[in-house]
Amino acid sequence: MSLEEDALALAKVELFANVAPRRLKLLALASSRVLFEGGQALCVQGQEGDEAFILISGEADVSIKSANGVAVVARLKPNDVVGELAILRDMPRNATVTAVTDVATLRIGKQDFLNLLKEFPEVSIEVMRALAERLVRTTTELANSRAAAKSEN
Amino acid sequence: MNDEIDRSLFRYVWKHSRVQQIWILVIVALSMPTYFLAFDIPKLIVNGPIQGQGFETVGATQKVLPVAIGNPFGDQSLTLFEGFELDRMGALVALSFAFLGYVIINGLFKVYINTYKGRLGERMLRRLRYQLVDRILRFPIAHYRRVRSSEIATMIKDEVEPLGGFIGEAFAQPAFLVGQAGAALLFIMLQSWMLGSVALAILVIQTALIPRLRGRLRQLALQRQLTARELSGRVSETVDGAVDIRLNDSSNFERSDISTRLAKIFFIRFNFYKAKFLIKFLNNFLAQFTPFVFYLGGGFLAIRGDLDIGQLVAVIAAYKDLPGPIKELIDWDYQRLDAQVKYTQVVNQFDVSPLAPADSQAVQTDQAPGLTGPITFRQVSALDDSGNTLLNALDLTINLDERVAVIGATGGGAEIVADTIVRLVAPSSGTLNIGEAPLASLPEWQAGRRFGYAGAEPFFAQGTARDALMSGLRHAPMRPAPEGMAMNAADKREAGASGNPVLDRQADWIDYAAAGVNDEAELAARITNVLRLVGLEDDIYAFGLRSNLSDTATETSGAMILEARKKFLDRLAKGENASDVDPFVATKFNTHLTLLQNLVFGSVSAPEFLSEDFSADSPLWTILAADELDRRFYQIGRNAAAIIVDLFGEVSDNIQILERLDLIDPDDLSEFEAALRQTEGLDFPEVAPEDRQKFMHVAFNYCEPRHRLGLINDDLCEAVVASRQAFRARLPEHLASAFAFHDPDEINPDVSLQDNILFGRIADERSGAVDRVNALLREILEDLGLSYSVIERGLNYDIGTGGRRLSLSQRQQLGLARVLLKRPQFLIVNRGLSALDARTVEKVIQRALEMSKSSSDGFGVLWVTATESHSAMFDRVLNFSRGELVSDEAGKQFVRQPVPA
Repeated sequence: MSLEEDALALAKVELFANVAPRRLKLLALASSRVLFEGGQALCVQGQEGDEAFILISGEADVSIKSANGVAVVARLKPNDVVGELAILRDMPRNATVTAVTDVATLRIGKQDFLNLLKEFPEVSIEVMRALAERLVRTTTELANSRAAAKSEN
Repeated sequence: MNDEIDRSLFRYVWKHSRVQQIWILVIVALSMPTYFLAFDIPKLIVNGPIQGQGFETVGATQKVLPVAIGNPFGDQSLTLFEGFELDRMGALVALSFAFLGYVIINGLFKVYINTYKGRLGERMLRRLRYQLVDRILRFPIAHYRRVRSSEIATMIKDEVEPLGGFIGEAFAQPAFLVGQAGAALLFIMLQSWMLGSVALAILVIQTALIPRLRGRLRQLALQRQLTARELSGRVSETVDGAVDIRLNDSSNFERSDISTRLAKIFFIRFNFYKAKFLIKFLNNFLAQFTPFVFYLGGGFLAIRGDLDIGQLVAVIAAYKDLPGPIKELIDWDYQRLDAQVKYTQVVNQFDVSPLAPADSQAVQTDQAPGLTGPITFRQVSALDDSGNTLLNALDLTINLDERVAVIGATGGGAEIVADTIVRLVAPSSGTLNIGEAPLASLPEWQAGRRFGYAGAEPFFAQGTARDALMSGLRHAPMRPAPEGMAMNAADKREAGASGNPVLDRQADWIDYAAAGVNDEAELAARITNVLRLVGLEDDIYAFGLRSNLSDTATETSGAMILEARKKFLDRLAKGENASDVDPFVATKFNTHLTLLQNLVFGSVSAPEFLSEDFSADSPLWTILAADELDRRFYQIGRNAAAIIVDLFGEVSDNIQILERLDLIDPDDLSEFEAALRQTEGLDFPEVAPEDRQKFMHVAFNYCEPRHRLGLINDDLCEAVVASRQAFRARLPEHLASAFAFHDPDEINPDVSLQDNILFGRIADERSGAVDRVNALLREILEDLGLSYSVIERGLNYDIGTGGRRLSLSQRQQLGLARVLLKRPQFLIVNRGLSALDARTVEKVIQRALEMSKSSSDGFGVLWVTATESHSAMFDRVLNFSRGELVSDEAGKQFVRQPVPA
């Protein structure tokens, strides 16, 4: 778990595809390794958080709690990013991420991430793309559930 | 005690030290005859035995040293003793010894008089200073905003200081000097009325002229005093505001301001010196003019035979004693004016009305009687200093058992309601009653114990957290000081003689009854309780865990700590998260320690090792060289520096990352760059010692999991571990004795309580490890009954001046804890938790309200806050806006029963 490995891991993250390798090394230096055991939560829905995690090894489930119970919506694999959206606005986490196996992560602090966004607009665009995708999905789901509700009446 | 301090210094002195002043006058008078006689003797010796007057024949005798009372010139004197019948040699011996005797007697009188005067002056100074501070404590509240603390402090410390010296001499000195001068003059007159008249005439000119010239000096002295006082105020403002000055880059304005003030002081002082030395010249001239006349005129008379030589010698000898007292008398007169000016200057500053009456702050060792409500506002208005309305014609009744939330933005009047109740703000109109009586008439000792007020900026004196908590309970000396520590009779007598109170500072001032407890043990429980309520328990606990074992002498014994360590390690090993702590093992490299910590593997409590700055001649370098670790450390340090310089060398925006790494100071980057270039390709022995040490410094702080530069391999780890024992043995003797090794069976007094128990480092890369370890640690300390002793250690944490080593939120929590500890009858929190986040505040309010409902020591609450959501927890909610009460309703949780008509 050296800096070189961490920088390489960051380079594989889609979000950071356009960031200069040297800058990624700096980001790796500013971040810290955090280990989670299977079953431990990386973040909990509804709680405040000002850090993002990059999965280095292991897998984690994303689950969302709603009125209908808890639903697992995605499985994260190495090089996936967790919690980058909570950094942009001081809002509670919108999902719970639980380690399925033992998980090694790189934790990126809020300020370091924001600095990176400022320096590399490409990263911001990536983040926007992710947001847009999520918006589209949410809108579709909303429309679907409205339609479902109407047909029930 | 009369509240007025006399405007006239003399009246003040006379009022408080009449008897002593008269006594000293009597002593001065008694000292006069011998003083006078001492002048006469030299003449007798010269004229009699030496020149042989009256001893013209061989074997002639004379009567010397007669004792007579009455008119020394005439025949009417009553001769008590005719004198000793002695021959010439005998007379010489007797007269000489008599001279010596008089000198000794005069000297002893002087010693007594001076000591007495000194004591008198010091007592008066003590009295005056005490009275001034006493008045400060009774100033009207609004006045505190107007005074500058440092100026007040300068006045009490420096400006009244010279008064002490003067006061002791206020009456005695002039009497003594006049006596001396009179005696000398009288003697001259007796010898020669002509010479006497000349001396007298010059004296008259001198005493008339000099004080007149000194008018200007006095004026300058006054200016000097005022400007110096302002300077001291300004300097302390600069210190207090230094951070803001620098954040706004206005330091040069301060420089210019200070320089301008110093210039003003310089010119005042320079003019003062000019005037002073001119006057000195005149004074000396006049004083020496008289001997000029004596030599010329007296010599003329003596040569003509109208004056005998013995007489002239005696006149000149007597004159020697005249200018001294006269000069001192003139000096005294100047001092008198100066002291009077200073005194008036100072006393004016303390002449503030209305002072709180002294009995309102009387010492009361009994419990204060309870307050009888309700608090009634009738048409109460309040204004600020500039006349803006803060509160407009408020009508309101609050019962002392109500729980009221007062909601409103800052400046809306909500906080003024709280402030008027505790009388921090005086209503400008309207009636404010408590029960039937005006609130203003409530004695301070009753209000101070029965009301609990927590504001947004609580004040704490320099001291520990415990001192801060106890400061709300120190009402009166409750129990006498332990034997040997108490004020002794002499202390008490002196206090009485200076008008100081006989309140023993060493007594136990903690009012257990006010806290609702009987002894120290119960108080401990209550402190824990209150700290938990305000949410400060964890912080204090953490202070306790982090305190060095040797810092505070508490009763936690080494054995207990070792037991806690054993239990902790046991539980940790059995639990699921055994690797949360990386334990200290003497034969293993600990990756969570830095390289140097791994090598030292313990602590050295010597200054050479405490700071991370090892000087060039530190023994460390030779120790490292012995195992050739220096070469390896150098290489690690150099590699680390190379990576960092490469990463940060050009990019200057990411400095905060470098700062966090804590390996190389960002300011030193270029230095390291140069050192890297210089050492490029050099073999270790060829590298200059400075460069070696520079890179080795970097290696010392290197810790692989933290820095992740991949610079440490197993081989190095083994080498470091192997050197541990040797390192200890190679330490110079004075360091070896200050060295404590990480020994599993010993406590280490130089590291924190926490480190002593964990005996390892938390593996903080494991998510949740810190929380889990802390929880386990707490549990074990609780099991062993050590929880309070940790809190006690935490309470010994030095919170700094004004509590500055705490965060604002911690200060506010501590302020509230202090107030709750004294069990108020009515709690007022005036935005007292404004620095805390809303969720914590909600919890604190909830717990405080729960406590307020307890049957034994329940209390009413008035909580001023801007956060509306908290109001639901209260019985009653008042809304304020722009100084007006806009709504008064029952809380949402609790619907009040309509009061039957």
